[in-house]
Amino acid sequence: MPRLSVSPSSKPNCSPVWLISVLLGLLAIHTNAKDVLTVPQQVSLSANMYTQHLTISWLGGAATTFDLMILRTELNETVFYETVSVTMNQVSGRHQWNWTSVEPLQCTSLSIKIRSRDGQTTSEWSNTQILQGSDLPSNEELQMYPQDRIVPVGANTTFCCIVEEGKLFGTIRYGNTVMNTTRLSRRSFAATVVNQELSGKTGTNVVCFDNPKTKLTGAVVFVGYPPLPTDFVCETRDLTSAVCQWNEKRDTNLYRKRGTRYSLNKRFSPEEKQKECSVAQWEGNFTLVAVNPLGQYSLTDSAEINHRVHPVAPVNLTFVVHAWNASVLWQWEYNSYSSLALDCQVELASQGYKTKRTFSGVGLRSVVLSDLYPDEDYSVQVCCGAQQNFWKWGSWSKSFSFKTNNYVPDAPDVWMWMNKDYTGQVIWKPLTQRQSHGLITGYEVTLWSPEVNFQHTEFFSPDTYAVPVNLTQIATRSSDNKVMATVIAKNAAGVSQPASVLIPLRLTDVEPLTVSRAVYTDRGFPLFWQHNANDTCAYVVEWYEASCKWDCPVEWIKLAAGNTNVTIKSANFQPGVRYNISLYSNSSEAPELLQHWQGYMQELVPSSSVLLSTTQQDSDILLTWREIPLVNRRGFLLGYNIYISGGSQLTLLGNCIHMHACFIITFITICCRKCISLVHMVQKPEWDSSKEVLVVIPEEDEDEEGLGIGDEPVDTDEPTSLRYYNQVVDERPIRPRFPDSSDSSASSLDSACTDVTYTGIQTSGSSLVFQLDPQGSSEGGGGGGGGGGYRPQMQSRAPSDDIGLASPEPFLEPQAASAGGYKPQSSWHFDSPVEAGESGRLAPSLGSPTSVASTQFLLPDEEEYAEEKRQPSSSAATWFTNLLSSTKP
Amino acid sequence: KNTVFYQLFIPHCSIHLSLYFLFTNDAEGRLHQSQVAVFLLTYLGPPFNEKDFSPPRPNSTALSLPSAATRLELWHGLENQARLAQNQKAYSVLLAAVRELARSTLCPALKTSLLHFCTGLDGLLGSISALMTTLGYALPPPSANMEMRPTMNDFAKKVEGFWILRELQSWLWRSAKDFNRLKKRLRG
Repeated sequence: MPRLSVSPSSKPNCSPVWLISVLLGLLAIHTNAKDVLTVPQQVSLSANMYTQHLTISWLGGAATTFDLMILRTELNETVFYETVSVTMNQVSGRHQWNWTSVEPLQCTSLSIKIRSRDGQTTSEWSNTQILQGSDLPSNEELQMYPQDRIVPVGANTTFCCIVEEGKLFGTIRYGNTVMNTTRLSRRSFAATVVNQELSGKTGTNVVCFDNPKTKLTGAVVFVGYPPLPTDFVCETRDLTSAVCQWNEKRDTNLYRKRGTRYSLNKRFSPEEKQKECSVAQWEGNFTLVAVNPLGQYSLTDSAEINHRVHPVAPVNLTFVVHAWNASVLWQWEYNSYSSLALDCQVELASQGYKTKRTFSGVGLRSVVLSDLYPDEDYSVQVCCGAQQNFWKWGSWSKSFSFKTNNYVPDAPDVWMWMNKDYTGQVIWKPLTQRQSHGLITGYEVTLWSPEVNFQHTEFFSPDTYAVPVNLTQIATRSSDNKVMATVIAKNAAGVSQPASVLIPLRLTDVEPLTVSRAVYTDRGFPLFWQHNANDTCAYVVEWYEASCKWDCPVEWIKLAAGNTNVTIKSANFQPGVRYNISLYSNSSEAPELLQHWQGYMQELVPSSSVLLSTTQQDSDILLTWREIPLVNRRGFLLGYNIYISGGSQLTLLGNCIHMHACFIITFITICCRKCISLVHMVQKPEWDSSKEVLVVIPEEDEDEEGLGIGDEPVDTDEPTSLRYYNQVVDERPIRPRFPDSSDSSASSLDSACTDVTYTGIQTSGSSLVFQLDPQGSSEGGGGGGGGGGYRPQMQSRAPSDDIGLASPEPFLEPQAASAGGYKPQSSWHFDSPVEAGESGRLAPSLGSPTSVASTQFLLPDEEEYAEEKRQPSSSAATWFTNLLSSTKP
Repeated sequence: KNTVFYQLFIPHCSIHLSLYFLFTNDAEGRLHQSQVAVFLLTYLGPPFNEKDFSPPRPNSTALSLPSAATRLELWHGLENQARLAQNQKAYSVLLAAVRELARSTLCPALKTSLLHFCTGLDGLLGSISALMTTLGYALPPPSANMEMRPTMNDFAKKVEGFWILRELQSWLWRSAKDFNRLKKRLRG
């Protein structure tokens, strides 16, 4: 084998002859090499079955370029044929080339041969070396390769199946997918899975079946990720050692023996799942290395120990408890904390609220919690952080509870209620838990009048909040105008400061003040008053239901001097209830009533109508009604409307804004179905005739200009007909009127208007409800037709103007002008017969969605009246029967 | 609730034999694989959970147990002692195998189910041993140590798990018959 050998001369000879000889020699060697390329010798193979690497080495002489050919032995198919440059290993003198097979090396036998190349010149091929596959006839079994492979997501893997000797190949399945296969040899078949997805926890099964399916074999491949740890950080809990923690950004999908192994500063973490490792001494620099079969990842962290203090939780919390404060004491697990400057948070929880208080100190082990409430349960947790180079708050201690001690109660908030006969009540508000400072054991109430040397003390149970007083005797003996009531609350810790209220003995003599209206807003009743600059007194605002007259459940609020407004609120305010609200001075003198309001939280439609009665006085009819009881008004009454009704037509006669009013109707004439009525208004209760007002109300054809005051001719038939109809109407049953809650929304902010209505139908003794019944309306409306019916709202032309009476609520509803308004007469259902009454008895009321009405029957509808005239034998009873039959459903 | 189990009281020695089958029966009385069996096969992945999948039975240590499928005439001819000894041997091997399955599983719920099942098998094995002792029969020697198992590839382990389950099913069926026969003989 030609080799270049240069012997160094100890004495360099610079003779040109020697130099030329050397150059010629070199040229000769080179020319020989080019002519005779060395055939690679001693080709050897070394295979790594797991990595599918094949290492080929040979003696290649001086050549640096070689042709490599790899064939599948059985089918003589070329797998690899390339010219490669390989340099000789100076130590072994051999050439070496590594090749990675796509298929597992067991799949089939491979033949490898090499030749040297120099440009276009090549040597002879070396002897063929065969890497034996597992498909040799001597190995008859059904086999699959590779086994137990672990690959990253997205990888491509080629599997091969070597069928049993003498059997036919069937299929290869990857999971549920049947793969395309290529033949590698007589018995070996390969399938390539591309872009592999994550496998299940137990890997993906690759199964090979023969054909027909008699046997099977398989392999499992695990597809996952290399490790990717994050958030690597080290800290100290005991001020000496390090605790390092980290997270994994993603699940590698590889577990147990394939799972990630971690090492911290080259020491292995014991557990795969545990993402925490301790080092006995703080080393300053930390390196985490995560390794799994698919790769490794490193993270580092560097810090001074005093920058990474994460305190442990305080332990053994104890308390020294008082009424208004408590000391919290705790211990530290490590002595080293005694010199550590700490900021500590104390979380204090009580009655569902949590507050945090912060304290500081070196080695802090106790704090005083001030501003606590007596007799209250508290729970406390403590956590601390290093004051200098704060890193993070430490762990919270366990929660510990304590209860503060009892303390004497606060003085109760005392007020009084006096009836008009020197009886009354001393009342006080129940003490809240935070005012009681312990369980209240009772109250001590003292009545005291120094002038008459009277003092009387009584004890009451803890659930007493009002005690009756009778000052009749004192009032008669005392010239003073006040008595002092003192209330003391008691608990286990002692007695409260006395709370006093001065009870005036001359309350009944106080002239009633002007009553203002208090208007409720969504926040309560806002009240305003004038402040007298000289006045240094405080105030009490009290309120109660106006309908209450005796021992009323009064609520109050006390205000400091100088206040000129307050908004009173109460959970007890109810819609439709009138409240009396009073402002009192609150000083060393007896309370003095300064201002008085009345108001509704929400005004509702009156819950009852007026009880209407008529008295015939010659040609006049006296209409009287009683005042609606206060509880039924449910709002401030604006007045009463008086209607005359002719069956389907209602005509407003007038209205009255006064509460105590009655009307005298004088029928001037009823001629040809026309009538003129006089409204005679008299103020109650005097029935003073000097206040009579006579108003002539013409109907329809009458000249409205002819209105005047004075007596008019009377239709003498009419009283008869009135009485007559009354008798008929009294036979009619009644429908009760239900208070309609939906009314309140429509009229809640407006004062209600009460209608006093004369109608073609009289019912008695109860209220009525209207029902919308358009079909029934057309049947029962008679001559009224589509435009008839009871429609007081339709009076867009306010008749009150005609009769000279102010109307508080003109009826201006535009939609009511169309046909088909209320026609209550035709929709009543007669389900309860009622005895006939007399003409003078109390009349019933009609209801409507927006007002209540009282009704007294006077005249029939025009058509009905005409029918009566056409049937001489008919009576009002007949007419009414006809009406009934026409309205029956 | 639907797990079919077999309880046998042998008055002769006041021993209860309970077989917790790896089957459940539906409303029509048809038998289905129990949840634990379905769970395990699903855990192994397809095609192990497919109905007609049947890999070759490996000759591994975990499956070195008497065959439950004895020919009828041979089965009829078995003496009480041989019958009980075969049961004892089979269940001691199977119990160790199911414990190993439970240990190696990555799924906590499956591990719990398998360990629960082991408790039942342990009780059954204890009952059989107690019965043999009462009847004066010698207990068979303990099974080969499971620690000596050769390294198996992952697929082979799955096939073994599959066959442990199948053998267990076969043996539970056979034991029901065995114990009925024993009961008759002991009464006689």
